[in-house]
Amino acid sequence: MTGFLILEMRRSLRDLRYLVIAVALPIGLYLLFTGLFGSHGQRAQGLSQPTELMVAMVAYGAMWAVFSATGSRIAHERAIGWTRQLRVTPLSPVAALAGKLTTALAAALPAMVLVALTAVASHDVRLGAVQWLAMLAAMWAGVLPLALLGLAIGYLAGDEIAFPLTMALYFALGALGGLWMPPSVMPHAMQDIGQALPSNAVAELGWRIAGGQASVPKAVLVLAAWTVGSGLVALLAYRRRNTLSVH
Amino acid sequence: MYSPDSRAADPLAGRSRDGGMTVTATSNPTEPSLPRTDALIRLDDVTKRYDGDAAAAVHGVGMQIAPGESVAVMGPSGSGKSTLLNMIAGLDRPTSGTVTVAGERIDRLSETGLARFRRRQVGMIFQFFNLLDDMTVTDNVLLPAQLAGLPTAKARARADELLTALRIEPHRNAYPARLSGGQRQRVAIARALVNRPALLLADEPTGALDTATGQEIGELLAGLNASGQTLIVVTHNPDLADRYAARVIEIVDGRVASDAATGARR
Repeated sequence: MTGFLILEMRRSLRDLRYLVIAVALPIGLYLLFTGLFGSHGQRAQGLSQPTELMVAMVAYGAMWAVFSATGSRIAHERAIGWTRQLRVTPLSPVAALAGKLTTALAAALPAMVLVALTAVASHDVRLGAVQWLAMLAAMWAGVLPLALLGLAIGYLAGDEIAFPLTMALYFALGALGGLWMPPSVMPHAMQDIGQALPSNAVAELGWRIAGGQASVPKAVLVLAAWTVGSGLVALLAYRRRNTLSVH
Repeated sequence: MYSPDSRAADPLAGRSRDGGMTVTATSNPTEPSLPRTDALIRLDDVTKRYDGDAAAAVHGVGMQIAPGESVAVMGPSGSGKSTLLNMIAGLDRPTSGTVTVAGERIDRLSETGLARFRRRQVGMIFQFFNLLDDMTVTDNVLLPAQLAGLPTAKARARADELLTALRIEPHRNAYPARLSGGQRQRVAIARALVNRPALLLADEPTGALDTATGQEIGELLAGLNASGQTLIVVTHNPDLADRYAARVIEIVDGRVASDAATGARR
């Protein structure tokens, strides 16, 4: 299992799409948005503009990191026969699935930390040590349903469709989830939709913790619901592709 | 019964001085007559029925394969030959009947037990090589050893040995996309052998190759078998079966239609 995790992490860190979309793009967007919208305004939850945008881009980068390690990669591996080959190796199917999920979550960490470091270096964003840890840990745990959604796409979609589908989902979740612009400036209907999305819930966790507000029950409920839903779909999709038939 | 010692035969033992595989002719092709008492693989009345399919993919098949045999499984598309191979590899379970490999009933093993079984006993190659295109040749070959928990130094030594024996050592740092079909299949064979499996299973190994390269791979597989590697090849290619296997089992409509020795390597 350890060997598989090391292998998958190596592959993630060498994946150009991951480096560009999960790491470089959120950092670039952070610098662009703070440059365009100014650095000193107050935003929702009483956060400064750079802090609010940092949280949004941490969520954005983490989202693609887990998608890139699951959706289109798994669909491609199925297409080239690697998933089939993996079944002939000593790795059990359950371990392979757990390894994919663990790798996806691990791939989110560099993307998240690098955006935070950029915010600190470029705009002197300051949080307490406990706040930093709590914010990053909560947001990291919060991307679990997105990783499960990526697994579901990987086991359901074909190779050609998986990447555009994941990209479309990524942009939709980013825009509707309030990661590109504050949810408060969106129409009410879109706000309602946005609040039910896991992308918004992940950012909401971060915004509230960064703003010193401990209570985040709605976001936790949204994420829990998405975890159950995505997890079930991912499990069914995986079983459809991989399960041994039984007596 | 099968003796664990009999799987210790190292296919690299037949390596020639120049690092190529020797293809040793045998004057004693294995007779297919039953019963065998030293079977490495034993199938008893095996039936496989997929959900929703009225007809069984494999129906009442019984066979035994001894250590060191080279067997070609032939038959038309959809005849059940790949299903048969998958059941021997522990990738699929029979609906009824028993599958015993190396003295172990694999049809009733758990997923973890099957993973352990595959680590010890099975190497498998496929028609389309199934190599990871974002990893080098060496890394592809090393993968099963790493997944089996082999120490890195030992795994690398074994991979080096195989890359040299299969004459792909000059390409060790290349990515699969830069290799020819034959070279890619050699990499896949090296990967299949890295954990020293008792069984090498090949599902249409020449199906994606031109005739000359297919013959080259056929000779390579025959050389491995001559060195002691038990080999089962599923193929549509009668030439591959006749020239490089000692026994041909023909499957039609999920049943064994014939089981006969060939004049291979005579």
